[in-house]
Amino acid sequence: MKTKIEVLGISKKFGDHQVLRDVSLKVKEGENLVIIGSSGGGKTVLLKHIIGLLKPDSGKILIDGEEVTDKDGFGLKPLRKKFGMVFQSSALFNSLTVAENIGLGPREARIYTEKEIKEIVEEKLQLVGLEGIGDLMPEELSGGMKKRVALARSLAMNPEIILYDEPTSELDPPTAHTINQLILNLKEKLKVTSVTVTHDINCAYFIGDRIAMLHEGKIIKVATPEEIRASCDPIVGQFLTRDEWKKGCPGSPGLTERNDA
Amino acid sequence: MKRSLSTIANKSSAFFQTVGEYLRLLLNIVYWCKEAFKNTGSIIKQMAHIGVDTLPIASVMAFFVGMVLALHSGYQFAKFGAEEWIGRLVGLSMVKELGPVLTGLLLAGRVGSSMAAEIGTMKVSNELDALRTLRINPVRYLAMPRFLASLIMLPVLVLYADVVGIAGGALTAATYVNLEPSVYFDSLFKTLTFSDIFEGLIKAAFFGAVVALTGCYKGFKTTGGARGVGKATTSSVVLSFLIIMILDYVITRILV
Ligand SMILES: Nc1ncnc2c1ncn2[C@@H]1O[C@H](COP(=O)(O)OP(=O)(O)OP(=O)(O)O)[C@@H](O)[C@H]1O
Ligand SMILES: [Mg+2]
Repeated sequence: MKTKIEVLGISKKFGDHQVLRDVSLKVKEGENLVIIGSSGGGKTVLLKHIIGLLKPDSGKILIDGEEVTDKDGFGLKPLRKKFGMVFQSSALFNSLTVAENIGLGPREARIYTEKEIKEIVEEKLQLVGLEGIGDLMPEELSGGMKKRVALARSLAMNPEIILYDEPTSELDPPTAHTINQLILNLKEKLKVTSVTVTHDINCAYFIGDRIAMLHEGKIIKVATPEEIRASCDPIVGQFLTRDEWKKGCPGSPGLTERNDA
Repeated sequence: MKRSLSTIANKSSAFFQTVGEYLRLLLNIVYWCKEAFKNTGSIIKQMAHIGVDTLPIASVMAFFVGMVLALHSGYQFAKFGAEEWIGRLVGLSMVKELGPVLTGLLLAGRVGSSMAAEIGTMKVSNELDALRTLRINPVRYLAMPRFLASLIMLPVLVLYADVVGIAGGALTAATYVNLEPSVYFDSLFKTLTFSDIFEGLIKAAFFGAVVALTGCYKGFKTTGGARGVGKATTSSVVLSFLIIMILDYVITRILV
């Protein structure tokens, strides 16, 4: 299968804080790669590099073989066309209604009529299961609805790649499940490539084709959910809940209750 | 000694960096003005916003400034029986200096600060990044309409403030030193030329541009959550005040 996104040894420092150290990743066309890592571990920073919102200190990123990292402003425009991003905080435009939020991208592209924009908005709202809420303001929405509207907003640009930043964080389990289901459905329906960042291992198992583990700014493991479940690596174990980390691994919390330090 | 020298070096390099970024934003905004006609909707919306926000308080301010000017000058001129000079003094000070400067400062406090707060809030909640991912340039979408609206609206507001201020002066002149309004206006129109009015409006256009540019600049530079937004808001007002004062001298120097 074709490689869609290629991250080649990127490093990033903010002040003296080294956030990413020599991170390399490959994402294949049509797959969902989940990046799992602890809070403050640089997951959002990594996603922002992939879409070109941040520039690495060293290393490069290729999208369909084309370099993102050496471009800014105008050069990025054609590449951005391929992307949609759902931000961690949803980042809906607070002064605009839901419909205006979703329609903003197409409207500012100035290639659609108002009627077409309205159709796009309806269609995308339907895709995320929120028909008829176009007139609400963002502050009237629940957290889960905001995430879905943010998703609809990025879908309005018909992206080939969707980046999800913590799509299920701060949501209750049933709502989180709906979102996960939605991510899977969209992958099936639209054949998009996606990169999802999360610290929720259950979400990673559910939606991920492969899981990459980001630890202290490094990718320490890339594997399928099955391989992760079977892994005995103690660092991998940190991301799993006690009973999930395979019992019987030496030093696993299941085996040696108080000895894991 | 060495340490204080390096602090000075750091401070001055930070200063030049700020100036550089500020001017770069200005050039960037001017560049995007080429799309002004495709964005008339949002420019007009911003103009209406500016008008609604500043008109009531500008009226009160201009009226009282005109009255105070007439009061001071009336008291002095009355000593020499030269009351009709009140008209000239109020008219010239209002039109050439106080109208543009005070209305400019008012705009900085009311409008520039809210631009900084609005854009700053968008910055800290990732909305600016969200705009970029939708392939919308934040300078084109947010800064350019605000810049043009402010640049157009401040001269309009100043013209209005001039009229209100002169009217305030006439009222005080009539009630305080019993100066006939016809005498007041006669003396005013004898001295006031179109170039005086034009000078005031040129200043106003510059001040309007400064206020929007500063508000947007501080907004785009915001970091650090809600506290950062608060800091951006106040510092935009302080910076606008400073630049308006300096620019006022420079423009006056060039035009007189
Ligand atoms: N623009 C920035 N300037 C300075 N430091 C930053 C910036 N962006 C991120 N950081 C720092 O980089 C580190 C990683 O941040 P990041 O947001 O990527 O974490 P994360 O893995 O997404 O965490 P979370 O699960 O909390 O979202 C943090 O320590 C943060 O303070
Ligand atoms: Mg994050």
